[in-house]
Amino acid sequence: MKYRATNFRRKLKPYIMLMPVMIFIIGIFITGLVFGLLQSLGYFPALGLYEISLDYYKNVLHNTDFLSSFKFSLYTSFVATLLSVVLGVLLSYLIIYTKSKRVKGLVNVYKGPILVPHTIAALLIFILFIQSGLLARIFYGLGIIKDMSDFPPLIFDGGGIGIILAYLWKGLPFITFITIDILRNLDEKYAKVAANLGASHIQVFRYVLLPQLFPTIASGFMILFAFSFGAYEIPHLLGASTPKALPVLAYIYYANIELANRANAMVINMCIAFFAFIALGLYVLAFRLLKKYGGA
Amino acid sequence: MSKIRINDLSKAYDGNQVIHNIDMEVEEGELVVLLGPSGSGKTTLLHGIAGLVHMDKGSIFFDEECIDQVPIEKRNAVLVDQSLLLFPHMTLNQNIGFGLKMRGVHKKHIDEKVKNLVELLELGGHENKRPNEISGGQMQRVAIARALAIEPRVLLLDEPFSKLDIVLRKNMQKFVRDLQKKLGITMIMVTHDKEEALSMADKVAVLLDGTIQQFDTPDKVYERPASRAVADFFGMRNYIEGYVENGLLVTKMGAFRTHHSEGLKLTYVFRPEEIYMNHETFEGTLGVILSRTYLGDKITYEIACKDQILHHITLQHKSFKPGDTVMVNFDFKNAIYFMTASKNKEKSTC
Amino acid sequence: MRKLLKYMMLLMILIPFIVMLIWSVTSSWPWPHLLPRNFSLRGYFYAVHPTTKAFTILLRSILLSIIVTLITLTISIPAARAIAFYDFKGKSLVKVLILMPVIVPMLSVAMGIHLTFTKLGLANNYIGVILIHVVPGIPYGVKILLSIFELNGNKVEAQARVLGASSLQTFRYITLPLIMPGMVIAGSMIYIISFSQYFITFLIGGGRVVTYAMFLFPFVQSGDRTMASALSIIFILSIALVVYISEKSVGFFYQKSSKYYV
Repeated sequence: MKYRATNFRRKLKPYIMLMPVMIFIIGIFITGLVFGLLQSLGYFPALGLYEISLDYYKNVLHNTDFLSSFKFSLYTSFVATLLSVVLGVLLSYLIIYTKSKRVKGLVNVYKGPILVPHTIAALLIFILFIQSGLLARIFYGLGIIKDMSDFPPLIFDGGGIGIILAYLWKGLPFITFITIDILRNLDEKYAKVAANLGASHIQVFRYVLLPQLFPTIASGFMILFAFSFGAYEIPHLLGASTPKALPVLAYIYYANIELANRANAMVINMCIAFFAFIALGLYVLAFRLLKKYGGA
Repeated sequence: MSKIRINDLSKAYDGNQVIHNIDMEVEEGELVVLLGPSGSGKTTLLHGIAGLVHMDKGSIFFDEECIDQVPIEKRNAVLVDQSLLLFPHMTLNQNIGFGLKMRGVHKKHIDEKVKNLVELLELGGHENKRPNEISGGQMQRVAIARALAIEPRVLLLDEPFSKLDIVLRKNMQKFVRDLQKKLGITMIMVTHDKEEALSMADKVAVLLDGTIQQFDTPDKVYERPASRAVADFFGMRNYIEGYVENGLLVTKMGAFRTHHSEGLKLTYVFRPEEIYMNHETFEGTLGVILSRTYLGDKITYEIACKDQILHHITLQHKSFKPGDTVMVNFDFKNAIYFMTASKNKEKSTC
Repeated sequence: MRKLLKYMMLLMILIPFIVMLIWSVTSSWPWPHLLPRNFSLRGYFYAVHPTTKAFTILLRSILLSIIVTLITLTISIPAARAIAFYDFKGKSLVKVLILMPVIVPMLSVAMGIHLTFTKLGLANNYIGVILIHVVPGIPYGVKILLSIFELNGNKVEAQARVLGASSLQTFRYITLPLIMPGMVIAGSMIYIISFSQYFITFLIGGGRVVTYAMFLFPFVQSGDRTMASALSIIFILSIALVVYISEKSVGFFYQKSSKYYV
């Protein structure tokens, strides 16, 4: 009897250890998402609204503002993430394959942007790329443009160039950060074997290193994409008035006095969360793949 | 397959000379084993042949063609490392076909070749598994198949079996040896395992401190070590020094009749199993048993004999106890000896 | 060629910092000059001037993020241990749940929970802000400590128990020193994440709780490049300083034990 009791306690122990973290994850994170879902369905018990309907979804999904915001967010996040991944891996590769003796410290510069918040990233892009910014001044100095209005409006423009640049500036180093050590290990381990079997430098990278790095790259892609798809600061600071990015639009609806708009905001949130969950699924899948290879 | 010639090769790491002026020739279809303790430079030499390490001095020739300037991927000297390094993201088929794919060989030819190798290395049924789904012995064979696929000019094996358990190791040794003979592969293998070297090699190169001390057939290397260092490496532990006077070899153990000419200084070497002891006769040198270690199939003794400690191994279970006095006998007629040069530098006379 | 490309990319990352640094000490830099005409420390003076409250906000912000970091680390240790050393039902679900805040945006979560926080009296005050700040740090805390636990294993701890140490003593003398390097890394991450939060602070704090990240935001929005740059540099320096001090002090206290596992 006593034995069974201790056995039961032993089984319970990991759950007790996980409890504090789970209070936050379930109590705030999951609850927040579930309540957001309920509110998106028009369920506001605090305000005496108990009826569940899909009306708000129908409203929002047919709204042209929403649709253009959705396209805009998808486009800026996707382009910024794709560029970050491609260039981030390239930078990892370049750092590993070109050893510089004199300016060793410079290499660590890439870690800088990871520590900088979105607000400051937006400021940096603003300073450089606004029509009176440094780049425009250099172009003027070179005689390429005659006036600051000749410089293409990269910030606050509908094309979202400024937003993409800000996400790229933060995302590229992140990808380099998560790939560089793994790439270096893979290179030390497999590059010589592959070369010994007759693979050229490019072939080693293409057929041996890149496929093994793929799960890491994929998970990095998912994190960056979901993050930029749901972040507020950069599109708020660098975006045009139309189309607005989804998070910005969501907050505008949310801050509106009219209650219906709060439900609309929740619909947008659910849309953002939906994409994030797809990314999460793919992320978990990428890690299964990593395990399958025996871990990199 | 090629004939390999190594000419005056040297390599130092941070001023530490790892390889000293090595010369060596490996005939086509020959299996040469580089035998030596860790740190003797054998892996460096192997990596030098593969092109993974750049040598400071000297040249390597494949069929009289100097390959010093040929980059790794063009050398066709394939190394199978002890950690195998199979590509974890590829199936066995893809692993084996990798080298051919890199050369742009047509897929049909790759498939054909891989199929043959799978059969040859008894890997049938596992073709589409990944490396982490097969056993250690199978991984070993995949690594060899992957190397053989590109028809290397020489196959280089670096301690290939050191991570296998003893039974599997014996099987793989025989398997690789048979395969090498069957296909006529020029093969250079590195090991620190004497038994493995002696049982597999056509020729053994004993590498000590970066130089080849002896390069000969296994029986010669074992039975006629060229130097005291080689003898030491093969575990010969009883050395008896002496000089010739009046037709007798005078040593601490006594004087023995000899055919050597007057005035020579000699060092005789006896393996632990080559000295004899008993307590029934009075012939021989008197010794006292110091210790006895029971090893199951054999027994080892330490014997204090004059002021020297002799090591003896016997298969007999005739039991001596520490403290027993015994008579020790040596067979000088068939023993190995070195001339003791004036400055302790031995020269082989075999 | 490849070297050139590498340096170009590194410079692309570095140049914005340098330009910001120049802007932060500029008083006039009219179009189309490539260098400023006049320099001043206006931005920095503003930040330390008592009437602006910038400095008080900075200190309060640091304190807030330190509290968040301590809470997050404290709850992450048992969770990471449970995942590292126990087999239990639902383990993979727990792992995914803990990972979620990295990928699912906090923006959606904060808007969803806002009403509930208001009802519970957790909105518009520090407690609510601290609670919501803990969430995004959890994945980093658990993940980093988990990898440390997996690396070290629990054999050393078992050995201590065999030698007669109580579970508390084991934690104090074995576990804690062993995981300290991981704690510093995880703590730094959590601190930076908390210190950088803008949206969730602003939503849950309702404007009553003003962190330095919130204080900075309108300056960036207004396009006042000198002020925004100076305040941003103080932002980055404060992070660097806190991280540096925590690393050094931990290094000081655990100097002896750290020799054995670094």
